[in-house]
Amino acid sequence: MASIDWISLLPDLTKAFGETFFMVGISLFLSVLLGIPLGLLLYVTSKGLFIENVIINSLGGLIINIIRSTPFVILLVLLLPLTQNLIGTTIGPAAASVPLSIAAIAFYARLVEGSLWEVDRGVIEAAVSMGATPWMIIKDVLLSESLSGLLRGLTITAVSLIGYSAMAGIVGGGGIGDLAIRFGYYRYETNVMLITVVLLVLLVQLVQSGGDYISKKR
Amino acid sequence: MIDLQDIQVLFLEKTRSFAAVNNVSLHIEKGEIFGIIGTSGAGKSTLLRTINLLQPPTSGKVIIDKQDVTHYQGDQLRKLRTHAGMIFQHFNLIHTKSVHDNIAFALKAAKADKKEIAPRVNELLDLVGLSDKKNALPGQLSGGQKQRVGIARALANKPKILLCDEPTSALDLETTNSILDLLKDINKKTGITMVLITHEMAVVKKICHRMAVMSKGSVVETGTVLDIFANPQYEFTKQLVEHSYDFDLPPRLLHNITGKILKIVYRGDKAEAPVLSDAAQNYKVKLNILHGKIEYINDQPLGVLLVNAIAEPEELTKVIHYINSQVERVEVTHG
Repeated sequence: MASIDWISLLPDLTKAFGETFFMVGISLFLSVLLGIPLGLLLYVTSKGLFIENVIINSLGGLIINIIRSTPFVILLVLLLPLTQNLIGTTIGPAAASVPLSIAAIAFYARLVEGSLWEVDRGVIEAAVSMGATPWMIIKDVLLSESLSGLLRGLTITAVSLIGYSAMAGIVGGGGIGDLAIRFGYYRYETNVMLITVVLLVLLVQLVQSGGDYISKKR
Repeated sequence: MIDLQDIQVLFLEKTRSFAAVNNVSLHIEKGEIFGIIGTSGAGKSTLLRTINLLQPPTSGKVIIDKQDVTHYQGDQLRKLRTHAGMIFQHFNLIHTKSVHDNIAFALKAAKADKKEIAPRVNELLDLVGLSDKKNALPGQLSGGQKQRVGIARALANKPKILLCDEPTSALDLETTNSILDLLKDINKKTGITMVLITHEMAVVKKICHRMAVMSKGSVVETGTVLDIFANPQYEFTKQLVEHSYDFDLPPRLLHNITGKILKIVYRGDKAEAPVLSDAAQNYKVKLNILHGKIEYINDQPLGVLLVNAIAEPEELTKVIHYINSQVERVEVTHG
């Protein structure tokens, strides 16, 4: 086994990391931006809550379930026309961010909904009894009380995204996973694959620990 | 102040509907502390929630201050709720917000002027004796302190009504008393109307003026607390009153006893007449006190004595008749 040529590998590695961060970053950002409202919508429209609405609730639930039950590889392909429309290309990290974001939003929305169910119903009732508006209840009760759960969910989403982003290599998305497959699998450079795997493990570990730390501080 | 007219609350279950509250009508006077007592599942909590429409009644009317509020919605309903504070068994404070922010939340809900929030919060904390806990999180407080924050929060917008949902059921005896004293004090100072539900007779006895007894969704008895304790009509109420006295005699004593055991209930000025010694002088009867208690409900004495009376049957009937004419009532509980 030949020793690894670090110098020649380094540009590939940094580029791959950059692409992974880009894809995961965009998807995470969008899952916070859209996943939290979607999770909130699912929660507050469910039975017995203050904006109960069966139609919106089941429709939202259905869409999320469709996205979540489709294997990510399939979703990647299914969404190619949409990606083409939005980005103008189907290749590259930006293009891969489209299906990644959609999967992440649906995934995180469910986690958000789960965290909201953990909020003490009595506290919500108390807020309603004080004449608080739905917006006040969402902002000062629901989001405030579920914050540590929301952060934990975001950590889980980030870790899953790192995994999903590896599959993005299939549409030429790039990233660390893609590097591992190209060098390790196609070119039989096991060493490179091992290094990328170790780096991925470290990255996931870092994200998880960081997420745990922040959510515990809350 | 509060008029509940033919309130019915139906819950739909899979196959049938279940009446949690069944045709209840109640009138609650301005400034009184009104207690609703019943076992769990009696519907008292549901009934209480119809007053601020947390639980809209299936049928019937909720009238507050001569206004029919039953169909209030949106802003109108929110405004109504800011005028009716509520406290809860499990306090229901926002765990992630400080004591100050919890109280400020109620003020913000009522759209209070930002400048007025801080001084009002201080004033309220002063009222409930928690000025030093302003920046504490609920998790750092004891149960009694949490309930005090709950009370401060409920009173933030100077409501006319305070709804109390088992406010002391999660507290120990000593804390219960201090919370009840606080509520009583607030009622006296501000003249706020309070509706309090509980399953503990001791709570009703300590602070309520009038009370209703609920069983299986219906109000079975209403009256002043003293009247109901002195003379419970309904079987369920009798049991509740009985339990609260805890007048169990040891079986050994019941086994060896001759004659009858009388339960004598007396109240008010009659408590001062020497009924028993008169009876012993005027009739051929031996009287022996086995158990007894005098309680003060709304500052009026209510006495209960268990007396062993030994006499010839005919004489005994006369004695019972005589005592009965002198006191609230006499019951033969044994023999």
